[in-house]
Amino acid sequence: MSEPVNIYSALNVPRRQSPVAVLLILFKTLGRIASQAWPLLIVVVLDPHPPAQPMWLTAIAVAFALIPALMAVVTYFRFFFYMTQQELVIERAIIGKRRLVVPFGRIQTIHIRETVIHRFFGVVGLDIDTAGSKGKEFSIAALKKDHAEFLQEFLLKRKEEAISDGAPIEIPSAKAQEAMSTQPAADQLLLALSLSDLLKIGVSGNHLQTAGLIFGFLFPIYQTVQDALGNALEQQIETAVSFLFQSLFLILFLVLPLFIFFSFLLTLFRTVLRFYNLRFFRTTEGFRVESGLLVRLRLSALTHKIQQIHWETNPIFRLFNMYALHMKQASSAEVSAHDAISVPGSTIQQVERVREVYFPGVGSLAFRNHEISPRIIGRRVIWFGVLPALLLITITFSSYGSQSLLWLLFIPLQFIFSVYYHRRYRVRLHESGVHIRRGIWFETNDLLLWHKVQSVKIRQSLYQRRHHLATLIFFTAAGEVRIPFFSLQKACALRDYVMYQVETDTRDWM
Amino acid sequence: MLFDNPTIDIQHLPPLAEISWNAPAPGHLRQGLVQTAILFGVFGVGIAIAQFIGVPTEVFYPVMGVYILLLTFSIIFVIKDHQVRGYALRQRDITAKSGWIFRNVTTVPFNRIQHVETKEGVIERLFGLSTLQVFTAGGSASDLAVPGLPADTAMRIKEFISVAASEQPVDQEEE
Repeated sequence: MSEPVNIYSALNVPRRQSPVAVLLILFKTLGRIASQAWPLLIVVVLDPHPPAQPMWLTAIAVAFALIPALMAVVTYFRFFFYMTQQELVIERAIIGKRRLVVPFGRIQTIHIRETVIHRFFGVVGLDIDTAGSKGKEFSIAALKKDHAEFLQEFLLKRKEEAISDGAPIEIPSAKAQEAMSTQPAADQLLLALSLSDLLKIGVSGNHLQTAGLIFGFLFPIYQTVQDALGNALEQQIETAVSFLFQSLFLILFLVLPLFIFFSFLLTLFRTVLRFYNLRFFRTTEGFRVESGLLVRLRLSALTHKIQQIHWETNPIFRLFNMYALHMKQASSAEVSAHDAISVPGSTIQQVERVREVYFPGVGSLAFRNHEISPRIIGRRVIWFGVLPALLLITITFSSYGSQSLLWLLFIPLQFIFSVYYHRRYRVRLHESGVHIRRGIWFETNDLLLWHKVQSVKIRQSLYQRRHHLATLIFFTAAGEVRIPFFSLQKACALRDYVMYQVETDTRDWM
Repeated sequence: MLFDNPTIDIQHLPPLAEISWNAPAPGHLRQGLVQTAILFGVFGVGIAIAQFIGVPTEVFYPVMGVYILLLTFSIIFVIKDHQVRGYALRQRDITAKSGWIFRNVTTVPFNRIQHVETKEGVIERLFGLSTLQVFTAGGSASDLAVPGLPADTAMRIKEFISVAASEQPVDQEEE
């Protein structure tokens, strides 16, 4: 803090970002171009016989390459932000002039983003999200770190005040601001992930998802390379592939383990990238999570903004008594992973801590257990047992003949799972909220306070209607919580009760 | 905590099941049928032209079969959809039901509504109808739509909800 005056004075004077923003905007634009045009770039790079290009073509290419650079400089010089009594104002003028006014009360989340480039220059990015309409979120590409932290704290505080009394707020004098920011942070460290924790999270990660990513990534590359290099390579690959697929033995014992191994490595890699040095704090207003190796993310959740809490475990997590904890917040767009603050590798203590803040007294309250209808077993067997089995048989019948009927074993297996699934399904109701626990291997938990509910839907299929069952869906500003195969009578009673709660509750849901 | 939360007897809650549903205007059915007729009319003209040009019969008959099947299903769907739909207003919430195969009953309390809209399509306007749309912060799946309302009714409901949504629930303890 060498220049405190420079940083904290005059919030109401339009300011530019840090000059580093030019570079960051340029990189971002280049990144976007690359992500769109990478197959083309690969072809150009891999082309073994580059055709001779005329001079003017090169000139045009260079000119086009200069456009993003120019845009970045213009964006920097014509981007201002400042604060009035009640609003944050952003002025952007690249081609048309655009003025964005955000009342403090409407600000949803303020996230600090730190990439490698950011860190190199000692700056951070600031992402500000607002409630309601899409496209109202914006980001400041680069700011001095302490300034960004000050802004984050300042805006969140203003937001609180704007919501609590709705009165216009005096912007504090420079001195007062300084005092505010130099206050010792009361943040309490709840959890810090060690490298061995990261390893555990990586091991139990979603390898199937990674496998999908590999497929999605490799296939276009294969096609592009094939287009670029022509037939020779294609033939080689095809002989190799057909050789591999000749025998089921090879697939089962060589390709599959290799694939799983690569998926595993990649998951581990992704885990480390995302959750490196994760630190989970309890702040005065809510919670904060910092994590990441290359891109250091700092996410904050205000207590009253948390709409629902979700925690889950899997067989490997359970070995280490670990949970993945998600705090789902209200967001402008549809709910994305971005808006849920996630803390993988939490122990039950951290889960309890967050639950207690969201739903005071939840640990000692008497919840009443309710069951869902056993008819869900039959439905699950049909959807996840019979149908997949029939599909797999039709696919594999031509190559494996009667052996493919082995897929039928899948059905009794699914039956056993489904019986167990139904038995473990818990709907725990309380006057002020609900806790739903489900799953066999992957146990998931949802906790929802009634006053966070936005609307309720009772959904019945033909089958459910015949048996007086219903799926009850509670929508919140951050997702939904479902109770499937609930008795229609209970669903209606619960709907009426929740409506009563929502309509008479004077607390803010956000 | 300042908030006071007395225990409620489930028996005394206002049950939604007992309210009477308002059906959509009869024009809603006609509007749906006209929309289907226009859509399938366009397809039909396309098929007729293809027949006129001279498409081989082994292509024409399956296409014709699919066409008739889809047409029948669409007509049944429009009729069933009209029969099922209904909405109900209470002092503090609005409920709408819809869906033939999957029956949905959605309830939105007024104090969670972000905004209300009425929308009139070209064919809806021919029948003097409009659709009431209620938006919440819960995302598109939680929003509620009531089609087939007479235009003036839709406007009146919209006004009613707008006023109700801006009023905070009365808190007897404080004032």
